[in-house]
Amino acid sequence: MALFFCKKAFHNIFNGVIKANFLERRDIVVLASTKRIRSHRPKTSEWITIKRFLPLYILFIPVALYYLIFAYVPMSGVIIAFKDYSLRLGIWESPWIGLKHFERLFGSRTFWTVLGNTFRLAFLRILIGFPVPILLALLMNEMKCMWYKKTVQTLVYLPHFLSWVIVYGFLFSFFSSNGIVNQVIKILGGTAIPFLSSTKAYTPLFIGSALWKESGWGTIIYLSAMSNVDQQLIESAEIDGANRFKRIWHIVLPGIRNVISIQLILSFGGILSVSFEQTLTMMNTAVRPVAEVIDYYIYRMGLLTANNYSFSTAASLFRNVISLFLVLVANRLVKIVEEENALW
Amino acid sequence: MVKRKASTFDVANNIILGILALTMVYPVINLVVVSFSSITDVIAGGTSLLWPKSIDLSAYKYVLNYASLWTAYENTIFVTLVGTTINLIMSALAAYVLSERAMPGRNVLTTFVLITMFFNGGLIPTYLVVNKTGLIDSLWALIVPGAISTWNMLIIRNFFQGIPNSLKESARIDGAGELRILLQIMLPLSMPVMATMALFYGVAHWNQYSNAIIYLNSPDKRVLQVVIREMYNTAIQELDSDALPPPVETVRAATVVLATVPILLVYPFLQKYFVKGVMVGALKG
Repeated sequence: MALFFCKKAFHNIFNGVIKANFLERRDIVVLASTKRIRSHRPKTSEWITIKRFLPLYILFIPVALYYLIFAYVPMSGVIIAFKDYSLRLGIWESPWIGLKHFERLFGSRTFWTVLGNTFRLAFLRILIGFPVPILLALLMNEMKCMWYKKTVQTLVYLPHFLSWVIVYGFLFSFFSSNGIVNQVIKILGGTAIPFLSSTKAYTPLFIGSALWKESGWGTIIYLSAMSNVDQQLIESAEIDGANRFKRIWHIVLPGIRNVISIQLILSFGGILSVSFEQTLTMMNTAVRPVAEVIDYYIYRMGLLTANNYSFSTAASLFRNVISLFLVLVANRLVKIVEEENALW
Repeated sequence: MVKRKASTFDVANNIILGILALTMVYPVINLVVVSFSSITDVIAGGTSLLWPKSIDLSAYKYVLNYASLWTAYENTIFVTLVGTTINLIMSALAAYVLSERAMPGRNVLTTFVLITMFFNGGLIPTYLVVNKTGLIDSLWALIVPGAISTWNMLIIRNFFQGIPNSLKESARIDGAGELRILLQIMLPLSMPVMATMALFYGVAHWNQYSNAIIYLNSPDKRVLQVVIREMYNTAIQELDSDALPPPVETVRAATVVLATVPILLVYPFLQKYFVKGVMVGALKG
């Protein structure tokens, strides 16, 4: 994997070494002797090592505080899912209530609709959004003209860096009742279709805009995996008369098989995190029955309409447990495919 | 390589990818065109596809007189600059400490950090903490709770681990403190990955929307994305200063263009870094 460590970085490092040596050359002689003395000192106890690393531990304090306050304290706050939280009493004093919020959650029809929406959108997204970057990367990998390839790359990575709000702006200018698409429809003699508030159009727009935004970015990992495929293998296949599709099918694709399977498994692990921000920007009351996903439901129940903190936390706890389960399963599958690429 | 004439496949491939690349930028071009068009042309559907029929700057005049937008710009720039700086400092600190292989307790600390990638309190418990720390309705709520993205930090750590240990050791022998090693040796050697992270963090801050919706509510705390999204909801009454109907479509377009330009300006310069940066992180595990 060291191959990915770009040449430039190596170059920088070696330059850095030279520079560092040059700057500190005067001290090196002095310090070389210090080194000898130090290395002769035996490590009598762990205390000495800890003392040696004390500055590092001190540097870690702000980091540790950050994680404690903004990750671990909220984790402990999950207990309000089992309590009847009231603002006045606070997390600890609020009375326990058992599984009542979960009972209400599982008894709510909206919740099942929302869960259904989440899985439907997530699966569609994987079904369509997963193969497209691979296909794109295969095509881009066949490009010979380097400057053209670079230009195409620059342009297809771009949407990844735009916010969902901006993307919604684009959607609006194309699909609103006065948008480009409807203008064309009107010119052709049809009547305008309100795409943005149509339950039928929401799913294609949701999947399509995600496809537009992320599939270019998704090619990066495949392109770099492809650049690792043995070039000699491809050339000898070419000499043996394998045409382009055979070369792709028998050499390039098998060469990136591991990366593909890992990406696929990871995307299954992330099913429940169907973009909250995308839903927040794209959804309106007209399309809510097909559009609301679990993260939005958690937000709506907790902050937007009802300030039902405990109920919302119960929903998010349920979501997180399922999500964690999916990640664990995914990781187990990665391990089966390729030991070294498992997350832990 | 065997040199061959460009085949039909090559031509078709180049054309297909060229069209695809154009669909990626066309929405941007379209809004630029609309923003410079006159509202009558837009409503009549008369804007041509690539350039405005007639140049009309009234949308920009409206936008530039719109006080809320200036506040939003200020807020977004503040959050982006301060937020990215804090992100980079905190991530580099964490990455540096966790990249020290000889340090006792390294595994414990790494686990301590990694756990947060798999468990989180969820919306409300986090909201309650942010509330307790007094950050609600403060721009700092967009900065502090997300001070480190663990994923980005691990990418930096992986990069640090690729730097020969002997460098650090010799600096320590030279009497350099840890902070100085980080600042004067590790960071200069990690420019590709740090530039990538600056881009990732910076863009994430510039694009902040949901956190702003969740944590902020005063009008003077609105950030750019919030203001833009609101423009698509309301008829922009506030803009209507001289009782004329504001050119809604072109004003929206102009705002989106103004919010996108900074990203378009920074992005090409950092592009050469991020491909490498992503790879170092993604595949070294």
